[in-house]
Formats: sequence, C-alpha cells, structure tokens
Amino acid sequence: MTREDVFSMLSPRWREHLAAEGIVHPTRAQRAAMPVIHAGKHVLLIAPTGMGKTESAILPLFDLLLRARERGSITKGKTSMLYVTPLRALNRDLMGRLHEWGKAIGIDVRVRHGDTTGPERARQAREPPDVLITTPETVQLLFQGKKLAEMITGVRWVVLDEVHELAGDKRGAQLAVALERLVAKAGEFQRVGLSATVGDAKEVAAYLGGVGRDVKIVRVPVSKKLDLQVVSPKPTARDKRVADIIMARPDAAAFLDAALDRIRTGKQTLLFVNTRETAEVLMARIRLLREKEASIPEVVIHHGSLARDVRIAAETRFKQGLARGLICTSSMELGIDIGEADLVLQMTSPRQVTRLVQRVGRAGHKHDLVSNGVIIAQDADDIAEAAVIVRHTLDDKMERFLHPRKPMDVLANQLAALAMERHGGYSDLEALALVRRAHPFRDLTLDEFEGVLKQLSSLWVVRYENGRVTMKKRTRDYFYQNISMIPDERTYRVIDLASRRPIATLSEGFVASFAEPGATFIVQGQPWRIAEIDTEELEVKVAPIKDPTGAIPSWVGEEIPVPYGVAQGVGALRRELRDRVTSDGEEKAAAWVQATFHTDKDAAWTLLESIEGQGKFELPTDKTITLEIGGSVCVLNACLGTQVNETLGRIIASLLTARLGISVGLDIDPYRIVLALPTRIPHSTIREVLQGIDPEHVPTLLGLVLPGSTYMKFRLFHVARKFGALDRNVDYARVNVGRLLDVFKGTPLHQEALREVLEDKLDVKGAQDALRKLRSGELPLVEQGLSPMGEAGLDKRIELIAPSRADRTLLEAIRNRLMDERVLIGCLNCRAWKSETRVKRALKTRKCPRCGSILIGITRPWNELGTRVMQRAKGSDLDEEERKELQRLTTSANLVADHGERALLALAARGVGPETAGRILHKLHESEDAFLRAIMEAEVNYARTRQFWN
Amino acid sequence: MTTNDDVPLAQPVFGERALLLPQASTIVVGDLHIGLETHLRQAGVNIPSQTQRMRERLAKLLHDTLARRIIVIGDLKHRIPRSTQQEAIELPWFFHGLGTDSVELVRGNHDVDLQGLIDIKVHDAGGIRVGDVALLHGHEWPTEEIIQDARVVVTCHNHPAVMLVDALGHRHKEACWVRARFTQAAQERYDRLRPDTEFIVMPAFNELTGGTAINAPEGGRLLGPLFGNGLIDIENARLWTVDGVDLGTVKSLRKYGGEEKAPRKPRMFGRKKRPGDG
Repeated sequence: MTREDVFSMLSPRWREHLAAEGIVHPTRAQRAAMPVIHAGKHVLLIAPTGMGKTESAILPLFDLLLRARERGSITKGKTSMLYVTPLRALNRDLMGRLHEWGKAIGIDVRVRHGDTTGPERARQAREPPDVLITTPETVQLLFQGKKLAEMITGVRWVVLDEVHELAGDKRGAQLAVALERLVAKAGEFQRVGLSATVGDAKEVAAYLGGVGRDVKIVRVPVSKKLDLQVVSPKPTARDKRVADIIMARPDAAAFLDAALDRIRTGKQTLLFVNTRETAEVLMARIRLLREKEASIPEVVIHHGSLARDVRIAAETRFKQGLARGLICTSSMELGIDIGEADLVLQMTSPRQVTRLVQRVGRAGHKHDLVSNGVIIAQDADDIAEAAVIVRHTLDDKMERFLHPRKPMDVLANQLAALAMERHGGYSDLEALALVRRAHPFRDLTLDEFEGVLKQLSSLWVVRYENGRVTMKKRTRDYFYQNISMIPDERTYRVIDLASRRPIATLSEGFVASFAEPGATFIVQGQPWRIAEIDTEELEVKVAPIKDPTGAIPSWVGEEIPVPYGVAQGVGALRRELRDRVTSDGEEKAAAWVQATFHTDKDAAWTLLESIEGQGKFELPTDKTITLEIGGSVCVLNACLGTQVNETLGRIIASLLTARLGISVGLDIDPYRIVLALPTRIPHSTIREVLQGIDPEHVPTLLGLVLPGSTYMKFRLFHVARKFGALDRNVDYARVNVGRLLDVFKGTPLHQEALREVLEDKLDVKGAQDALRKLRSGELPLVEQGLSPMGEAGLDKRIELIAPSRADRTLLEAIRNRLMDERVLIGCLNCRAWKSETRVKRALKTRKCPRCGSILIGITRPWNELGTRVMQRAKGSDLDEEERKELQRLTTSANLVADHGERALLALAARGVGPETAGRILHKLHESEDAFLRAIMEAEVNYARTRQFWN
Repeated sequence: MTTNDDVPLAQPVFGERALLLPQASTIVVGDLHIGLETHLRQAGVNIPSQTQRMRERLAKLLHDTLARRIIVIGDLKHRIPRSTQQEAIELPWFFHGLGTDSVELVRGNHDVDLQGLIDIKVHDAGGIRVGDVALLHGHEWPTEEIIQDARVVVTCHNHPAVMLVDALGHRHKEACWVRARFTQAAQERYDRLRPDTEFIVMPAFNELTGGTAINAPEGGRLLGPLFGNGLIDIENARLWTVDGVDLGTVKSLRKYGGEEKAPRKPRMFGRKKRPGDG
C-alpha cells in the first residue's frame, strides 16, 4: 500500500479537515494500524510512546463513526465511543485537539473524570456526547443513574489507552469485567488497545479481547535507535565544596553534579528517579545549590502526590523551556504532554528493562533517529545492574510479567456493581457467565464464585437469596467507597498556610507514623513544618522553612523489584569480570566492560575495584551463593532478584524465629538476604535451615509464615476494604489486623490477600528452583565471614519477623519466676539442718553447714509430709508414707548434686516431682531454652490434666 | 486456694476463659459483650456475628465439666444505654438448649435495658455468693455481705492481658488470669474480710475485645473501685496465660511490659506504581 492509500479509506470530509490541519501523510504507526482498525477488527497496537498511537486509532474510528451516522445506523442521543485512559491529568493538548477535530466534522467529544465539574456532568447527561474520554474508575459510574446507563447502550467502539498497564493490575481486571457488562447492555463493540512496547504482547491482546474474541496485534517497530550509557562520576574537588552546601557526602554531590551538568549543557532533559522519596531529596538539594550558585539551571519536579496545580505548573514550565530539567517518576512514562525532551537521565539503575525502554523512549523528537539516555549510577551494585539492563535492552530482552489471576476482591467489587445495575439484580449463573468472559476470570469456578458471593452476603454488601444477587441497604455506600481498586490509604491534603493552597497529599500511613505539629518534611523539594493536623477535614497545614536537615520526604514507597534475569545478569557480570581480570589483566577487563555494557571509564573501574576488593573472600555470582556471618548479622549473597530473595528470606527468617523463639530481623535486596540475629549463630545452623527446606513445601510454609508479616497485614487490610469488611474511614493504625485475620482466616478475603502477596511480591517457582539447586549442589553454598560485598548490603530499614508468641520472653519470665519460688531445703544426712529460702539462694548451698554432706533434699514449704520427714532424726522409725517421701527427697537431692541449678529450677516447677524432674534433666537439651521449654510443657501439662493452679 | 480437702474452690478451665466452681457444679464467665459486632460495624469494621461461636464454647464447657449452672458475672451484652437489633435477636436464644439447670447474671456496667431480652435471674452489681466464693462484675463495690468470710472473690470487667516485648521490640499481648490478695487497706474497709482471701480477675470470654496489659510499666489503669482505692495488691499478683503458663508476679513482669507510647512503625510498603501517580 502506498503512502497515500491509507488515508484514501477515509471519507472526503474527514480527509479535508485533516489536510487543513496539516495532516497529509500518515505516520508509520498509522499506516500499520489504520487498515485493520478500519476493517472493524479488534486491534492491539504496540508502539513506543510518542509515535502518535492515539491518532492512529482516532483517525479511522472517527471515520467509521461518520459513515455509520450517514447510513443511519447510529442511535441519536447516545454515546458511540468510549476512550478510556488511566491518566487523571489527561494529555490536555491531545484532548483539546480531539475536541476541535470532532467539532469540525460534527462529532461531539467530551471528557469526564473525577475532576469534571457538576454543570459539565449534567450537560453530558442531557446531551450525551458522541465520544466520551474517561478513566477506568469513571467507567464504573457510567452504569449508575438512569440517564448515564441509557447513554452507554449506544457504544460501538472502545479504545483502551496504556492497555499494557491495565492488563497487569487489578484496575484492569475491574475494567475487563465492566467491558463485559457493557457488552451485555450495548451488544458487541470494537475494541482497540494502545500499548507501549512490552515483552508479552499475546497476553495483553488476550486481556483486551476477553474470552472468545480474536485480536489482531499490530506492532510498530522501534525505529529510533537507543543511545545508552552508564556513567558513575567520581567526586572531584568541586564536589567536596558542593557537598558542604547541600549537606551531603561528596559522592552524592558528584552524582547530582553529573545530572546538573548535562541539564546545563543540553536543551530539555528529563531526570527519572525510582521513588517519590528520591525525587524530593534531589529537588531539595538542587534548591539549596541554586541559592549559592548562579550557574545551576532551573529544575522542576513532578510526581503523583503533588497537587494538580503544582503538577500542571511544572509541566508547563518545562514545556515552555523555562525549566530545562524535570525530575519525574514512573508517572511520566506515560503520555503526559511535556513537549519534547532531548535527553533522558536515569538516576540510579531503572531496575527493569521495560522501565528503561519506556523512559528513554520519552527522549527525542518525532523525526529523530536516536533517543539518548544516560544512567547515572552510584555504587558497584548499581553500576552492574544498570550495565546489565543496558545490555539486555540492546539485545531486546524485555521482561514478561505475571497478570493477576482471578483477583477475588475485584470480583466482590463487581458483584456489588452488578447488584446495583438493575432492579431485580442478576441471577448468579448469569453473573458468573458474564464475569467469566473477562480474561482475568476465564478460569473462575462456580465454587470460587459462590464462596465470594456468600462472604459478601455475610458482610451485608449484597443479598444472595434463591440464586439471585440483589442490592441491600449497604450496597450503595460500599460501592461509592470502593469505586477504585487502587489500594489507597486515605490521603490528607497539605495546605500551605501562606497561600492557602493545596500543594501535595500525604498518605495516612505517613501522618499516623510521623506527622505531628512541629515535624518537618519535604515537598517539591521545599522543607515544610507542620503547624496543624486536622483529622476531621483530613488536612495538614504547613509553613515553609529553610533548613532541610532532618526533614524526611514523606513517601516510603515500594521499590521496583529487580527481576531474576537482571540479577543473574549481574552475577554473571561479576564472574566474567573476575575471570577476565585473571586471564587478561585489569586494563583489558575494564575495556571489555566499557565496550560491552556502554559504561564510562570510571564506572568500569569502580566495578573492577569492587570485584578485586573481595580479596580472599569468595565472590558471590550467578553460580555461587555465599553464606556470611559477622557478629550477629548473617548475609546470604544470592543473585536471585528481589522476589525470589524475598520469598527465601521470609521462609528462612521464620524458621529461625521458630527455632530461636525470638524475633529475627530481615532485609532484602536483589543480591542479598540479610538477617539480623539476636545472638551469634553458627554457619551450620543457617545451612541446615536452608538446605532443610523441602522445595515442595514452600507454598505451605509461606501460608504459615506470611499471615504474621507486616506486609501481609497491610495487604489484608486493603483487601478487607474491597470486600466491604472495613469502611473507608477506618485507619490502618487503629485496626488490630491480627484479630481481623483470625476472624477471616480461610475465607476468600484472606485467600485473595495471600494470593496477592504470593504473586505480586514473591516468586514461589523461582524460590523452589533455587532450593532444588542448593540441595543438589548445582548451586554451591560457600561459608565465610562477612565480606566487603556482603557488607555492602547492610542497611537501615529492617522488617521484624516475629514468633507468633514471644516464646523467648515467656521462657525468660518463667525462669525468673522459678528463681523466685520458695523452697524448703534440708540435709538428709544428719537431718539436723533445714532452711526455707528461695531457689536463687538455694543455689548457693552445696553442703550441709552442719555435717558437710552434699545430700541436700528439696521440697516446697507447704509439703507437710516432706517437712516432717526432714525433721525426723536419723535412725528414727518411719512409717510407709514417710519412707516413700524420704525416697523422693533423696532422689531430688541426688538430682541437685548431679545437675545443680537446672535441678533446682525443675524441682521448683509446678506439678513437677522428682520423677518428672529426672526425666527432664536426663534428656539432652540443645539449649537452655529447650530445657526451659520442657519445664514449661510439664507445668502446662499439669495445669491441663490435674490442677490449673493450687 | 484450697480447702483442707485440697479440692479447689475455683479453678480456671484449661484453655478457656471460664472458671469452674466444682463444689457448686457451676461455670462462671464474664464480659461476653454480645452485640459487639454492631458497635464495630458503626466504627466501619464489618464482621459477621461471633455469638454462635461463643454459644458453642459454652456448650462444650458444660459438657466437659459436667457443670449444671452458669453464672455470668456481667457485661453479657454490649450496647448502652439501649439495646441494638443484634442484641434483641441474639440474646433471647443465647442460653436456650444448653442443658443447664439454671443461668444467672450478676449485673455489669453494660447490662442495662435487658427487659424482655432474657428470662434469667439478674442480680445486682454488688455481687452474689456461691458457697465461699463471691462473684461480681467489678465496676461497683462488693457488698459487705458477700465479702465477709469469703475465701475467693471473682471479678472480670478489666479484660486483663499480659504484654511481652522481646529484645528486638516486637510486642505480643494475650489475655491472662490475675490472682491476687487484698491489701491492708481492704481489711479496714471490710469488717470480716479474711486475711487469706484470694482475688481473681477473669479474662473476657469474648475473644474479640481488646485487653489491658496488667504489666504495663506505668501500672496500667485498672478499673473498678477495688483497684482505684488500692485495695488489691497488684505488684504481687500472679498472672497465668489461658493455656496454663504461670508467668510469675506482675512486679517481675513489668520489665517485659514495654513502653505505653512507642508506636513501633511497621515497614510500610506503599502501593505498586500506577500510571498517574509515580
């Protein structure tokens, strides 16, 4: 097809208007996509950002709309097309343009989302637009209300923008069900999905189409070359000065400088960082620097927690070239319009190949041939990671991600929505059939479905009777509190006292943990002090301050996980580098790094130094795991990636915790599992635990281990909300999640929280695989002291893996109590001496002060028989009872003579006579704790079978 | 506390939050708070009613101990000043079919507006006497009558718990039994109080209620006039877990009680990155 042909399918009027706009020649994406879309097929269009994906869909779809209208097959007064995009801050220019285009050819295009004004919404209800641009959440609302529900019955075309993101999360699962609900109301419609470059196109296409619909995949090749580089600046003298100004270390200053230098010498630069926290810290430092140095260029900041106005202002300034640097996070990977950037800087490794591709894709203009990206890396791990990711990018090795399978809280949410849809609700089988057409629920069983329905019913969210699902009083409230599947915490608005304007939002978690009047934090790179917190209105009022030291940025966000493939790549890089240094020498090895991984000289040498720095220590690589212990810290260096390490780490920590009876601290990074132990533990213990884990048991172990973890509790809290067990106004800080767990154990709610954690955060298969290799020896485990590479992972934030009952403390309390018990001791030899004392003092008496015998009997003061016997003079006649008692006392005396303190403790225990004590003492206990536990068990046994207390 | 026969007057039932008076063939429970779920619902926490579970526990207790009588020492129901729909539905059948000779209630501070909801005998908050055992809720003074010559005094009301904090700061709290003695001051208040009378605080029968850590370092604010006026020797009181572990005295357990204030911040994992936030 020639260049002209593609546009020739469009109707003349439409073509004319496009020509008037200057659109005469179709782009590559348009050439590839238009014919298929115009033919009415379901299409998944894959192209990098900035290739005009939206137009590729709109051009033919508007045409189809016009033709259908001419033929008279469009119902008047209804909406024909839905354009769904996940962004709230929609690409305003694009929306504006679509609106104008539509206007010129008689198509009414309107936008509707959370910020849409009341009057505008009313207008849309009165005069339904032909094309409605909206968000996934708002789609849920379109089914409510008579007018809106009527309006959408005319839908013939649906466009899903950023569909690759939707396919990967619960929001998308919710939308998928909504689309099937739409089909039930409006009949089948054409589906067009717009996606960035991903590694699993087929899966995304399946998501888009739902069950039983054929989707054509149209791929627009990445025409732009990626020019990638990894740099790692070493601090210079200047950096030392800068460090003083920004109150940081010289290498942090060098890091910052490397970025600022490029911004200054470039035109428009994007600085991507991985967390909001990093963004704020960077911005704060740049501000400080700008006050002292004139040459620092203006940089603005953009992320999701900033208030809308603030974000728009940043976007505008950057677009207009007033600010030449924009610090941003993953939200900028999407289509927000910020004009064009010449260079993309990534501060520290982007963690995943997919991220790098999408971020660097933001650089370069439409007609450029090259996209420039530079990763500024900090330390050896960071450099290695960045290097591997660059290599994988150039080799086209993108990750494939798991998509949520049958998320039950989404099902719960949509069941409530279905109940509300019509008066009379839905029959359960009808609802099941509908939901099953959505891709994430294709495997949903009747049992699972009913389980969720029943639970919802028990929580008063819906009524489920006689096979029908209908509304209850509570359904509406539940629905409006849970429109979105995003687990948001309630957010507080941050209001600047001076200007009275909102500048940001803070999560309730942050406010609960850190915020109080007088506390300081950073937003927009500015430090602020909290003047007042209003928990009713959910507002935090603040005033700006000068000194940022001690101010914490407020977002403790989740770090992007590093995939197994990248971590192994790092391990392999370490190994190869070491081998090359040995065989070819340093110079050649460094040169190899630079050439293969596109790093600069400093970065290559830093890597080299870290490998050589291991010295005599074994180097952990993709083929070797090292088990290192230093003091009370244990580091397992394993290049298995974040998720596998998280899985293994949790299991090991829990097993250790159970064994030791005391909390063990856990910290994870993609290359290490770090355990903070309460005491010194030998390598052999850890090795035993690790190699003792049967890979088949991993899922079961996790099922036992996870419920107590903080992460799981947090997940459970949010899933509980989605199921309607918790209202939106209930604070995480105030709910005893442990008790919640008890009430909901085993129910679909709990299972969903578990599934989420297992699939999103952990990697069961990967862990099983690693364990198998460890057992077979395929992955050798080398024991050593703490090496430099192991030490590099020691960090601040540790999560506590706690025993379910504070066993160690319990045992300690028991021991103290036993030491304090009152006992009667007496010499069984001369029988002329006895003393009532406490165990702790009885320890000191080894011989009778009268006759020097070591045969000291011990009993409780209220044992009348025993007391009597001890007093009976030697040689006197004893009756049957007394003789037996003497026997017992003699046994106890022998135990004390043989076992000392332990015997005293055992004999002082409740319900433990000389026989039981003997049994406990003669058993070999591997630790003091095990011994105390045996005593505790004997006491509990007595309490259970004989007397609880006396 | 035992009589000379060594048969105890009052013993906890192992693993349960119930006291058995073997000589009176009676089970004593307290703080059932039936209707609690409605309160939680209003606070935004929705859980299905656990009342049936409590009923089953009671049935098992009766079966295992062969007791013929149940005495509830207060807070049978939860809501004050009036009753909720849940209570109106659940209270009437709660004791039916349990196979007891009798069920009695000693009023607790939550037991108001019971008219028509239950048809069991209700005693005043000052307490009753069963043999040598005095039973009351604990929010009001025990009468002179029930105290004189009693060997055991049983209360609940405080939902006692023990807090155990380990070396790394992890906190674990669980319900417990409290066994104490009266102080000298009590001798002055009550004429014929025996010097060796045992004082028991029972853990709440309802497992969903929160608990007050008795061994909290600042002395845990315990409720009721007996505690409020220093009539009970707390420091030397002993605590037992529900499953029979003797933990020793409150005095020796204070060091595991942790600090009241410390909000141990869990590692908060934020949400997964989404478009639009970042």
